[in-house]
Amino acid sequence: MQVVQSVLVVFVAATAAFLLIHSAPGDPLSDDASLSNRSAAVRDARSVQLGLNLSVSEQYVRRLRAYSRGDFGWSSSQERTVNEVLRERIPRTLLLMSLALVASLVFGIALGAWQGSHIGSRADRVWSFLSLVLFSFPEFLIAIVLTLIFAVWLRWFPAMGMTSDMPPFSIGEQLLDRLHHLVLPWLSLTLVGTAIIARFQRAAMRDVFDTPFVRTARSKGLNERAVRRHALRAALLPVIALGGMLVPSLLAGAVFVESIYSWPGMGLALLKATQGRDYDLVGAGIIVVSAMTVAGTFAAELLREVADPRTRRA
Amino acid sequence: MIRVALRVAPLALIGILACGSADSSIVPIKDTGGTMIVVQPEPATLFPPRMNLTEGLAIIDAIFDHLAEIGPDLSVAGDKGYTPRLAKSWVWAKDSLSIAFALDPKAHWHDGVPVRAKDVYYTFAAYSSDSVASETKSLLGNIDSVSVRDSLTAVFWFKRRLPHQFFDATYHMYILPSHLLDTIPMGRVKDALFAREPIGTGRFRFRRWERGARVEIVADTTNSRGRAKLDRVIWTFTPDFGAATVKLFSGEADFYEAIRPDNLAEVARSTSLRLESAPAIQYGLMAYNLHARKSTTVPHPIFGDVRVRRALAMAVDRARMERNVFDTLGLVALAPAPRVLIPDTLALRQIRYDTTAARALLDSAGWQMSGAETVRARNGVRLSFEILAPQSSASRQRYAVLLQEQLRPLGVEVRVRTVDGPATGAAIMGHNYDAWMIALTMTPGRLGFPQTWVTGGEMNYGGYSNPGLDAMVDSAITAFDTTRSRLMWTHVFQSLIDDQPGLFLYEPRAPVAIHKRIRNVPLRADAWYANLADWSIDPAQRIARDRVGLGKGR
Repeated sequence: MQVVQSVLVVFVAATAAFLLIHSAPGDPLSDDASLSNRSAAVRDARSVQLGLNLSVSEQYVRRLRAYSRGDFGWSSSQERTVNEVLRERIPRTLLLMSLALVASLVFGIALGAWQGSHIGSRADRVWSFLSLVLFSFPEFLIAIVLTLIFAVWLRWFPAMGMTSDMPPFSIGEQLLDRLHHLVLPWLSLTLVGTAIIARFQRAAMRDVFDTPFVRTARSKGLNERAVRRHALRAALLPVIALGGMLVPSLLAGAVFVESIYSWPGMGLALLKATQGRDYDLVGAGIIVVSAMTVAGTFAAELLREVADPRTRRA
Repeated sequence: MIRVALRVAPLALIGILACGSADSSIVPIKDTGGTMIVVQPEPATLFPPRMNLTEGLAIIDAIFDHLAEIGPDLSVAGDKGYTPRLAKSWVWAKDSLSIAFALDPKAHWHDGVPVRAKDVYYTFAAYSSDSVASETKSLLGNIDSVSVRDSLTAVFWFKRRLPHQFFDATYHMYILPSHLLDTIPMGRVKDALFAREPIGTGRFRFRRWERGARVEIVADTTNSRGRAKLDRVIWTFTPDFGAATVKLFSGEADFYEAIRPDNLAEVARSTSLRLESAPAIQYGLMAYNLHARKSTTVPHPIFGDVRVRRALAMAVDRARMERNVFDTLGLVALAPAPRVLIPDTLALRQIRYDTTAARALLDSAGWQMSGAETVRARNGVRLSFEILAPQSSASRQRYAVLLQEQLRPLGVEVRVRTVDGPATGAAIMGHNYDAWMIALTMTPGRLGFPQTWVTGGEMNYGGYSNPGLDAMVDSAITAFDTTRSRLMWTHVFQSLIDDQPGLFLYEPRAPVAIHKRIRNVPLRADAWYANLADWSIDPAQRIARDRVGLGKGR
């Protein structure tokens, strides 16, 4: 049942994306930069090549048929198949996102759990203020600030890209080069993710400390360290659910972060595709993003079932 | 949690490495060598016939060759000033309706196969094919056919004797390798691997294209015309202007061609960069829609009247606007062409800035302001219009706002609408606009001029029509007598200044920011990248990336 629901969600998202991008003014061939040097004959020929001469409903049916064959179409902004673009771009975004997600969970849970155990302390207030600031900042603003400080002023990290323009030689140098380029985009996403998780984790810890089982544990003389461990396990449940919900948020953030750092991932490709009315790539991108969101939610539910026996189905 | 992290770390490292790899070879070269990094947006393809915007042209111009290269004066009349490239020499037929190009027998493709006349034959077939839908197909209309006389002689046959026949045959087409492409149906050739990993004849050869990141080309050490002086040129791709300047000023790039006035001071402060001015063949204007919205026959209620267009030209201080937007990087446009393409700038009579005369002209045209009104009106129609300003151009947006401000005191209401490229295109092609800010890049010899200003021209979106001007343009382009041609072009430009189908605003001086260690040949107005193979790096100023050598490639 859940699989059917998931497919339905992806289908609705893809249809909505198709209709929205087709209702936006212009098409892949109407870019103003081409107006001054592209003849009408060339435009007509390309229109036929891209199937733009068909009605929107015909294009939609054609697209659905192509999807059923696993064919995501032709990217007009990159002049190659969309499947090829997806194969290349998705791993890059996943790399950035998964590292940011893992780090956000690790740092966010650790920080939130610590704060939850020290509510009201001066350190808790400082961390709460900092996480509120980060929580309220959009990723792109954090990315710009980090670029200015660490790339332009201090020059500790590269300003953009996934690798250096000059080819590094040994495997070790390649690895270091990748890591070097990863730091700033990863940090931009992780800071926000950490702030979100930490705030939820702190609140969850505070709630759990008020529950009867914690009071019972304390009254039985269990030491505070053990109490915290038990409380953390109970307080992890809402945060696990949040981890799944963080996937779409990170994906949205990745669009801006990839754009600022020229990280050649799915987010940047999708942004350029939308600007250029690259219908097929936008459609495929939305399918991928919605599928990842559904998968994230699904994974969170599975984890919750693993962590909380009460939610397991018979 | 730590255990999970330890398990994830190796996977992450594998993931990091799986997204690419690198090469491993260092070959020091004596007086040649060095690396230049150019920052720009990414092209969609490297297949020459599909090339539209300048970013891709710079790359393919280094990898491919024309039959002959136009001279620095960009003269299109006859073959004067051209230098041989793939063609060693050429012979005109007595009736001038054909030119036989003798190919350089030593020229070969980067895969080692010699260049032959059938490559030239294939090139014309590809560029003129409907299936390929080349950007330049419409410019090849006077070429009737290309034939192969022998393996090293290709003959171009023309429909009509024109001064620019040689230009038509040599300027628009990069010669393509038939041995790699002629088995692929024309409709599929743009999808072939060749479009991503091109093999040419230029003094640079293609090495790699990491999508979304960079293209690298390296000197072709076996080229019959000698290797390029630089070891390698890397085009590194950024999506926008801000990212490009960060890359330039952080020292990660050596060359940027789209520098803006806001960055002049920073370039001047930089110890590693210099500005180099290039004559541009571009001009900017506010182009009017001379027909009512969504119509191609009914005159526009405001711009259909030449008196209003002239009054608007009188009402704005173009010199002040130009200084405001471009500082020292621009000039006021004299006509619908940059100065370098105007034969006699002194002969042109300009419409002077005179707000009093502008008010009087608007009054006499019936556009009047009554009582407390702030906007003029005529027969119930307000003197109010919308300017489309493209999101992609900060300078044109700024111009639109300045026009709004300058026209307001005269009782002209201007609304500025900033829209993205496709939305602008849709409005223009659907004739659903009043005026739009556009920058036009001209072809050498003003050969693209008819498309923009002649009746029915493919890019004459505003619907300007003047039969007298149409005839003059045709005569000016087809005249073999240079003096006569110059005179006619002067008449053409004067007609357009008088008629004001658009408000001609500026011509940019288009300086480029370039690293001081790079020694370049003078930049050509239509293509900074022409003769890139002769650029070099001062051995005394080389930096780490210059000492890498040619390498073997990733």
